[in-house]
Amino acid sequence: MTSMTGERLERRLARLLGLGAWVGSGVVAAGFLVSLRLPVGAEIETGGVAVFILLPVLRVAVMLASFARRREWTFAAVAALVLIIIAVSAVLARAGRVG
Amino acid sequence: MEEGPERAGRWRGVDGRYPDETLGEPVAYRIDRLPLGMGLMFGAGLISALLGIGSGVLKIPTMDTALRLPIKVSSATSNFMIGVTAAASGAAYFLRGDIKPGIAGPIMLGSVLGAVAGTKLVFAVPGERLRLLFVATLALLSLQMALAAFGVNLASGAA
Repeated sequence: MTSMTGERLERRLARLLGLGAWVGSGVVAAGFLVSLRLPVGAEIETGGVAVFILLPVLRVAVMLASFARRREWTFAAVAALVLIIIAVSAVLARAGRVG
Repeated sequence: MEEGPERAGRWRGVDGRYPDETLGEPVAYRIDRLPLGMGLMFGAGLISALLGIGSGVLKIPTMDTALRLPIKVSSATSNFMIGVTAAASGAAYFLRGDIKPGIAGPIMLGSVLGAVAGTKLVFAVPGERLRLLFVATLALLSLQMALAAFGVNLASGAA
């Protein structure tokens, strides 16, 4: 991606992911503080962890949208495949859940 | 290996450039020998899954040698790949309820801080020094693993 659009995409992605990391850190920190007093804090912390897990997935999704819009179908297919693999992994994990 | 005739146009979209602060100007690069790289990456993933070794130590040399990418590009790409694969397995563990928030939360915060610091550093450090640091880390890891194979555990409390 040597075009200007590619660079703009990279910058936007970096900002988005950086913001996401801050949000995730904030939620985890808030959850930790709450957990000192209330048990619900642990669930808030878990929510923060979930935010972090979602960030790389979000990145791939944004890349997929960008590739599709610019009609770079080979790369779009690769990005879509990655998302599908992650989704399948999640579904299988949920199905195998113990309790 | 000399440059062959025009490579398949499809992969030229992956060529790129990045700003290198130590050199003071953007560095252009291109992907070379992609099929070989993909084959080695498959092997790296296989070994990583079998032995539980972090895949970064296998992927970066692959990108460096087979694909002939600049070391900083390899490092950044490796981080991205590991993020995605970790998200996949992380999502699986998370949905099974295997992640303990009390432990995961603080560990995550520390890791994020370290990662932010490291990412800022990667622009400032010269590429060659980065490569040396990587080789040194790899050597230490190899030593630790070799010792562990003979029952000598440096990292953990129990022998």
